[in-house]
Amino acid sequence: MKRSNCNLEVRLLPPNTDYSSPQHHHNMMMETGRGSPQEQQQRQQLTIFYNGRICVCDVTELQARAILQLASREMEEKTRTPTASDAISSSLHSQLYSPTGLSMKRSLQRFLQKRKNRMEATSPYHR
Amino acid sequence: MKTEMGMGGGAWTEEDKAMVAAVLGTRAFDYLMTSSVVSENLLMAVGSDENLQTKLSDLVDRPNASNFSWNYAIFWQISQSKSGDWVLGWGDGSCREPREGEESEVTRILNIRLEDATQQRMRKRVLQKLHTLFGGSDEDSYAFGLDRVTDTEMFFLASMYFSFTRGEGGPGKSFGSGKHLWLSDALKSPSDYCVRSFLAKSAGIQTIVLIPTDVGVVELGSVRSLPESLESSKHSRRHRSQ
Repeated sequence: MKRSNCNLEVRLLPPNTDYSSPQHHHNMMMETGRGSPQEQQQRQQLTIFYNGRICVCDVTELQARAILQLASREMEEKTRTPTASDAISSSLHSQLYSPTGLSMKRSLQRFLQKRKNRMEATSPYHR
Repeated sequence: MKTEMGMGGGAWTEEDKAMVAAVLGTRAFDYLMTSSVVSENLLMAVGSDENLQTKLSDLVDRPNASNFSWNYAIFWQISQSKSGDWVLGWGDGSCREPREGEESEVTRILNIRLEDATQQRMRKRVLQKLHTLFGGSDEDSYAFGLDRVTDTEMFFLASMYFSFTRGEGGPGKSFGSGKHLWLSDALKSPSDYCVRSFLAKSAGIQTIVLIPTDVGVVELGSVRSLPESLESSKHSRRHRSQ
């Protein structure tokens, strides 16, 4: 497929962005190839980094805008006031980096290693 | 109860909750779901003891002169928030399978079961759910890598996900009161020593000991029914104070 020389760039701004500022409009505008409508319907490669995952796809400009809109809506929803259950799950979620979380990891590693050693010792293939 | 666990692995369906409750016991499930421990501001009250792991392992893996050792040893570590509230969380632990002839005849007979694939699948799924609920990553995911999860292992691994504030659960009560607990007939006892009693009973634990220290609580368990005697007290005290 013939690739055009220009890249499609979309930027997602943090929730406290002032949407009315002229600068915002500039940032939200996507840089696509200037050209005829046919060229604008052309699919271009879009790389999305989101939530620890990478996705590469070919999209039209319209599709890219739709993705951007969906993503920013989701971001807005995530920054709303957390409910009690959010608080519980987020506090549990953060336990990984607490002293308890590290202790758990360490104990788990030792447990799995001990288990592995025991299984290897009793395995019929062990000499 | 309609708590929605929205983060850390997706929302829990009613089926998920029922499965977790079935495997852990309803008391343990309810406790985990309503636990309001906020760990972000917790500070370690003391540094961890490098010898701790060795001591806990010895209590489990090194039989004494009478050829006795505990089936599990857990250290619940104290942490303190800025407001001064303390909470006991998993510090370290060790466990082993019962040796031949160790379990009571009753337990042995009750535990004779053909390899129950459904129960095994459920146990692994529950452990996986707990892992993600507590912020575990996919890389660290271990549950489905286990060939099987024994009763002892289920009790031990599930225990890691518990924490206790003052008066909560066996460890919380022990630390709060400063009193130790020696239970010789946990299987027959109508009262629960902890919200984890269901799992402990499934593992055939007959003797449970809770010993409060300055820095946390030591929990020991055995599938044998042991009276609180001078000798067994000495065994655990010696290991604790070294």
